[in-house]
Amino acid sequence: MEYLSTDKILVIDLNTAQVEEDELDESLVEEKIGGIGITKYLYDKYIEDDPIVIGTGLLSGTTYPASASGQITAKSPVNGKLSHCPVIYKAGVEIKYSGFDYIVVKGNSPSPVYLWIHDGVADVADAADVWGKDVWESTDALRKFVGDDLLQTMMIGPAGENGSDYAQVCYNHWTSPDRFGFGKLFGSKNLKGFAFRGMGLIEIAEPEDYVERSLEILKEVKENSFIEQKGLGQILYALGEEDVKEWMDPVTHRHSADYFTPYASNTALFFDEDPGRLEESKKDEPGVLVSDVYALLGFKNIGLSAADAGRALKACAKYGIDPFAVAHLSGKTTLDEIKDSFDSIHGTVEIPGSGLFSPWCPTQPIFNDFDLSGEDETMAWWERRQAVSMIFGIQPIFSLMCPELTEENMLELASIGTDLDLTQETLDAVIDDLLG
Amino acid sequence: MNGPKIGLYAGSGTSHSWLWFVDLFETAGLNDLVFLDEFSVQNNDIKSLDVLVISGGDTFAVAKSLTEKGGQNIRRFVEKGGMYIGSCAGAYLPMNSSKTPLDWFNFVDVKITNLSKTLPPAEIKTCKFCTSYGCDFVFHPVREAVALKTTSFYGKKSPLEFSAPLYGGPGMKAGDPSWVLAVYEGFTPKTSFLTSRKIAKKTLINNGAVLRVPYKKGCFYLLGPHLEHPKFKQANQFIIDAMILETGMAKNSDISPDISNDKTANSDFIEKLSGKPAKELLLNIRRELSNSRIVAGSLEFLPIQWLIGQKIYEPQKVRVYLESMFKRLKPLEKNKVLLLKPGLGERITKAAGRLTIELRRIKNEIDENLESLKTAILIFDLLHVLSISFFELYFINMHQVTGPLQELPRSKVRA
Repeated sequence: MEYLSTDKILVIDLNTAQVEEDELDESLVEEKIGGIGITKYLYDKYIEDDPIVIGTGLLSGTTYPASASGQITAKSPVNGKLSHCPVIYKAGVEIKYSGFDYIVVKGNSPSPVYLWIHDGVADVADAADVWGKDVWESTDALRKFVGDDLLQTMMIGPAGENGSDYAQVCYNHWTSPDRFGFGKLFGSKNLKGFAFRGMGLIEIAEPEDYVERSLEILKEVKENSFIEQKGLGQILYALGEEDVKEWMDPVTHRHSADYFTPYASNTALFFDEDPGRLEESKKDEPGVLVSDVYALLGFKNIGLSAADAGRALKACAKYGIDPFAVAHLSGKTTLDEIKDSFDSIHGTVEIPGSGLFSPWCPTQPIFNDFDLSGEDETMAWWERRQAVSMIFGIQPIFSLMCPELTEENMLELASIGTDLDLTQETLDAVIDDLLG
Repeated sequence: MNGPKIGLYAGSGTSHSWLWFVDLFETAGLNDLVFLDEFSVQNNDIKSLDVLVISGGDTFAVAKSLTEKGGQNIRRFVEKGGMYIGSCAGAYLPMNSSKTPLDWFNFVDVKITNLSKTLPPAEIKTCKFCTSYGCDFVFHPVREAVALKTTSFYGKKSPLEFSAPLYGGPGMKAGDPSWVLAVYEGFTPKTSFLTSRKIAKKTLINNGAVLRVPYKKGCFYLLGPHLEHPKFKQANQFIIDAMILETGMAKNSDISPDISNDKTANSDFIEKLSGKPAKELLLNIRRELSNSRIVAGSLEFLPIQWLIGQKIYEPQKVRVYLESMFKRLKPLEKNKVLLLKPGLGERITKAAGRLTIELRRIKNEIDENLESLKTAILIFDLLHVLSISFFELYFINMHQVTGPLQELPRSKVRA
């Protein structure tokens, strides 16, 4: 596969630490397009090895608006269902830049390891120095070792190592959309996580046309008035939680966007530093970056101040535990109690619809109505929208906001970018296969 | 054998500009390249060459590294019909000087126009403005692209005009006007003035930019600006045209490659590696080049530079070396069989592994506000060792598929 691709599928056997590479066949892209279309195919192919499959969308890391996402596809160790978790921030695109479109991790390692993926090289590295460390310590240690602060990580913390059902795979220092207990799965395989860094380029079949069309679509997106807003507070406001923004404003430091995403859907809360500070903080850990609207809302609803909600989220991020589960299942109402509750949470996090996609992503349109009516239609739309986002590699929350990102123009760009004839019929078939 | 045998000096004292020559020669299909360090020049490994290239860097450091013996070997090489191309520091090197170690290289009667006992006022405060040169100073009136024009001695009916970047190279006054092939014609919108326009004009304009100094059966080509810079295609073609002309002459002279001492010409000295061992060797090289370039990339965000010898080195220079090697891995990986001299693979992986360690060390030293000069010197030494070995591997292998000397592509666009 020459274009929009690194042409490489990495297969790592943790049992033996052996690494193999396969080419990504063009015929597979013609049949499954990309993203979770292919991660599911690879999961089925290696199902006997209980694989974790990491992937990127066909458009990930390009100039198509919000082409920021990667995916983790695996069987949830909590509910036993095959599930797909978006990889967000800058971590999703770094997977592709580091030289691989897809990574299959088979088996279990006899001792803790992490996978260092860089410029088309995959190293199965001894994790003795980071096993037992929290997510922040692990990420910092790997960045220091590699000598690069732009290193992107997907790491578990103590929650994953201890086999918690609510363990998350965190991205860099932050919590993630993982509601499936994938952190527990990583821990059970003695896999501390991944570190990605690459300076690769992605070849495009018709680069000028691709960039031109991308910018036209971006222009259309920017003509939609929702784009003038930013941050989690506005998202929650649009979802009917009108007082959240006022609650969090005193500790709101900034909003940041995922790779090439026109809406800043992450909000940084500063609670150990003046949030109005413009210069770089001299404190090591002045706050937390939040992408999880429902976790934040959950902490608000149990009566925490925004600063304490931020502290709770930070503690969850370090421990590598799903903050939504903590907020909703711990039954605790003070920060100290919450921090002490991580190993004693019980209950179930409900996964909506067919259970494939993470409810980290609101199950309804945001800012724009998409002409939907009724719960069933909305849920069907949401699942399809999630599937499409994760086939093409689009930031999944942004895709719920933005009607200008259509299946038609994603297919158009994919065809321009690959020189393949990718049709709506193919996309429909891939989605049918995913949704069953 | 197609094309001349070219020796590129890549040893101590050089900066990264010799890598531009590598790009230039490869693009022109000149793949019979030998990469030299100071010891190979001292050992007279240059005697089998048609062309010897010494590019930019620290002239004093180059001279000191090559030693008087290296100077004698260079003199003999040119006397016997060899073509010497010196760019920037390599142009200063063979000019007459009273200062040791430069006086070991007193080959040509050429004066430097940007040499002064007193420094002119600097327009921009930069450490790249001047270098001490014995009791005098070499000052650099401008940087970046300048306009050049060929003279009637270039041998074309009408003069050529083109531009090339000046990064510290000399303006020159030749002992014989017929040696001047091109002069500094003017400045360009991209020229950056480090001193006043008036002084810059007086120092450079109508003075020699490219000289051909005949020396017994051979000649010295002295290039003030970097005509080899990859963004200046017309200037690149000037060098290739000169080489076509001169190496044709060389074949008619009594210079004869000493094949018996040329290990690359003897297949007994070449190992063939294929299958898993070849793949593993290249993977190991890729791994360490990647590790190095990742940390080198992060060094570029840090406000640091090092004074090594008389030259300022910025972190960006590290990556120029690494990228130059990294981009050549893919073509190498396509080869099913890898040719290499005994020990070469081990030398490359060892140097690359050590380089990663030292780059990570220097990142920590800078982060912790510790002295980093010693590590920086080691890093640039390792880069020389690694890149010389890597290019040796690369050109041994790519040489198998090369064609005859060719004109440079006029435009090359890659999406």
